[in-house]
Amino acid sequence: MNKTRFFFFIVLVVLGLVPTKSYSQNFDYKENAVYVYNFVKYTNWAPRKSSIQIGIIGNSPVEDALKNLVAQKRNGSPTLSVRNISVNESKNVDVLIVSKSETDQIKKIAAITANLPILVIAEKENMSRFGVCISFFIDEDNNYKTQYQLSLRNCKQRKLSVSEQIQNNAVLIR
Amino acid sequence: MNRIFIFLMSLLLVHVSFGQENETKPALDTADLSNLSIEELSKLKSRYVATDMEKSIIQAIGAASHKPLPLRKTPSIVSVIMEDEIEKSGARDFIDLLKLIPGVELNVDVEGVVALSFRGMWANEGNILLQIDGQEVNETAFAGLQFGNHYPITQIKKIEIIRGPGSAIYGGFAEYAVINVVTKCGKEIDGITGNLLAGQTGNGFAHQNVSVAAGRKVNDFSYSIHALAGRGQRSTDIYRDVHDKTYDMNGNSSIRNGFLDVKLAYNNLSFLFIYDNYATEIRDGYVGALTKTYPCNFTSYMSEVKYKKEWSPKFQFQTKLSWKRTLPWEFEGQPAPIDSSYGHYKIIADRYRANVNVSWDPVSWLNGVAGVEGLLDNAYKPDGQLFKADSTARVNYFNYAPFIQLLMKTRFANVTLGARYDVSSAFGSAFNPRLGITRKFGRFNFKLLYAASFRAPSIEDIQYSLNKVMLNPEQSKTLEFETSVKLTKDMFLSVNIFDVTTKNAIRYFVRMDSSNNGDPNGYRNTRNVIGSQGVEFEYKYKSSFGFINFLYSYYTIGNKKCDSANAVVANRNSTLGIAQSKFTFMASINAGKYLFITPSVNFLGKRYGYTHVDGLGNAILSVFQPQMTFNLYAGCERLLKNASFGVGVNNITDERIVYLQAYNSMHAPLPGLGREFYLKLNYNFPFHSKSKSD
Repeated sequence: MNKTRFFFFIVLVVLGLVPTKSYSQNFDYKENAVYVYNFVKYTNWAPRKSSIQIGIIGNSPVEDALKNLVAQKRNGSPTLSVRNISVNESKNVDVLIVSKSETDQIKKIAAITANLPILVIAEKENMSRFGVCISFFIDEDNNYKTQYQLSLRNCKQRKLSVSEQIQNNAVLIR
Repeated sequence: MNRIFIFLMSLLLVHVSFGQENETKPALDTADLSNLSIEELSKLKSRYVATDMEKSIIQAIGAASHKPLPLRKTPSIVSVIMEDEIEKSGARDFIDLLKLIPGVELNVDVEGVVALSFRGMWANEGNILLQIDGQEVNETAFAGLQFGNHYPITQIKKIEIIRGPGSAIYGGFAEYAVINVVTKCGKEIDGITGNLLAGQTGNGFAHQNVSVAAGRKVNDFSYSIHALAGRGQRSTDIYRDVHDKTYDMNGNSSIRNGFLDVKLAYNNLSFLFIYDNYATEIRDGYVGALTKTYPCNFTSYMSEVKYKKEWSPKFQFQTKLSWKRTLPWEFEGQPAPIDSSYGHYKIIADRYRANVNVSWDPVSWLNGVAGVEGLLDNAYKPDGQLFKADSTARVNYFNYAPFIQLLMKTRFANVTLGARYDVSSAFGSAFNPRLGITRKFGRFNFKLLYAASFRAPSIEDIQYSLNKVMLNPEQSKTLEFETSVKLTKDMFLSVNIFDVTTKNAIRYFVRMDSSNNGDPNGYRNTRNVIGSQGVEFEYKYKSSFGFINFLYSYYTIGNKKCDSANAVVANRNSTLGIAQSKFTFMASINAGKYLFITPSVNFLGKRYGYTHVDGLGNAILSVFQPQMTFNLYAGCERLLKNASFGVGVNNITDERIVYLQAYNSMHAPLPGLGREFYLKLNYNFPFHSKSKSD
């Protein structure tokens, strides 16, 4: 069995040499930013708003992508503003993006924003049970394409009306 | 065992401990998406460039469910061997690829045939289904398979191995596992390719194979033709039977293989024809070493016409008609007087199959497949011989089987429910339900699987039944749980445990008190409920570095009963002839753009087998110490434009390879090949100017 021990040793050494960094699948944030821009465009707040404030909780590359996009579209209506906010400020915006790194705060955010007319968007799937309207996810089966889940129930509870453009391309969940 | 588990755990810990969150870098992006609508974004092709490992994880597996599903969602434990792994592994024939599958081992049957066992269970006749391009390859008379310079590997696109039952889809030949070989279509060949394999041991030749393939897709028409002619030897070593009679297998164990695979497709209609001739020479008779070699041939013809119609994206219809003719165990020539128990054997067994099914997606979270399959087995003995039980020259059996499958995506998990109900004129009926629950949690994926499965008594099982008693189908219940994790975008690890229980196992029973009965031997259902439990482990790494495959499997029958034919008196955890532990390690390392080198190691744990008989004719059990073989293959993917080659040495240390019999039928261990030096050459003449190597 000496040969066996030797073999295990060699396998361990070889596998140890292999790069072993872990990773998480990343979104295409530029694409996400355009999605968010369109979500705002096809969501109705009552009463109608002339300016929309987008708040981002946590560090997400979508912030820069959105700021660039909003700068490009500055002649549009309503006017959009993007800023990074803390969890406690989450009730003061119209659109709230919860970055992937901050999803462990989602319960607290859900409590603060409960039933408020805020379009809550999460960078993690299956977040509807925390009052999230739209949850981004990466569809592995579709060659790692970015897609989104839409909870019409949560939108309704928040008195938000989302148009067919958003609904038709969403994975509808409760 | 403890050392092995400690090793596996430490391996896991090494990777988990290195698991600092290290985000992948965003792709360099200059595209302007700013004016795209939601609909346009949704239709936008994914801009993510998946790694080879990620592609292999998301590839659709066709064999594990009626509707193809990605690897991690399939309701089965699945291994996949891809084309590049086959090429860079330096595999000489299918036996080398079987070493890459956890739980699979090779054992001798009788008359030189080497076949499969799986998870500690002898699994040659109807227990494991082999399909090539969807065609059932198992011969129809005994439902067996034969390995060793058989079943060409040169034009394989991928092999899907369902390491678990498949009867809910495929019926009575898929009790324990399914091996699904997918060969290249015309579009993928797109030219003419030639392959050469030549291998030599110290005593004689081992492999000499030539194959040619051509294929092309022109508009809606596609064709591919693949032909192989080869010869090899089972071994160049000395065979010693249980009575200590010996002969040199070099020159007495030749294998000749002729294979033709033709595929035509036009729009939704496709046609397939396969011819397979496996001509062997044997001297290892079931009564001991014979005085000279005899030819023993296995010939198969398979054809299929398939039509698939997509009425809408949500509703598809498919029908298949197939015919298979097999002539297995064809034993020719006049045996010498001393071999008088050997005689001429010839059977022509036809199987006609018709299958109709529809697939419907009524809502986004539900897919249903339903259909029915009919089988007609017709066998006859053309040379004046009669079937044993019926005393006729021709027998017919009919089987029909409605089947259904539901795939449900729920919030909690993906659920698969399926069943197939086989009704046969030969053995009654068999109901085989399955349930699969798969769930992804971030990088982790879980599968909980349960399935019933069966082995249908084959034509000769029925005709050779002990005392002409009707055989019941062999029935198994399998429970499996798998955890897999995508460690990085280049690494994948899966671990599963299993519990298999089989009742009414069909075994060939050799009665020792033959003087009391003129018809002493035959198939019968065992009384014991047998089974096995165990764990299987697969680690894969793939990147520009090359690839690493490490697999390990372990089984025990300690908590199960065992049939006396398969029992090891000295070890109640192990079955006869099958090692409890197996591992394979293979690392293919790229050296530059075209060169690669692939070392590999195959390990089999301690085995038990009968090697000789004492003066009273009692079989004596021997212990075979663990066997480890080292192999090395090096190749150049571009020797010249469109040409590649490789050289290898298999079994570097010249370990004595033996295939043990997994049931007690007095067959001594059959030697395999010793150290073999071999050469592989491939040439590709593309129909289009850009060759694959470019």
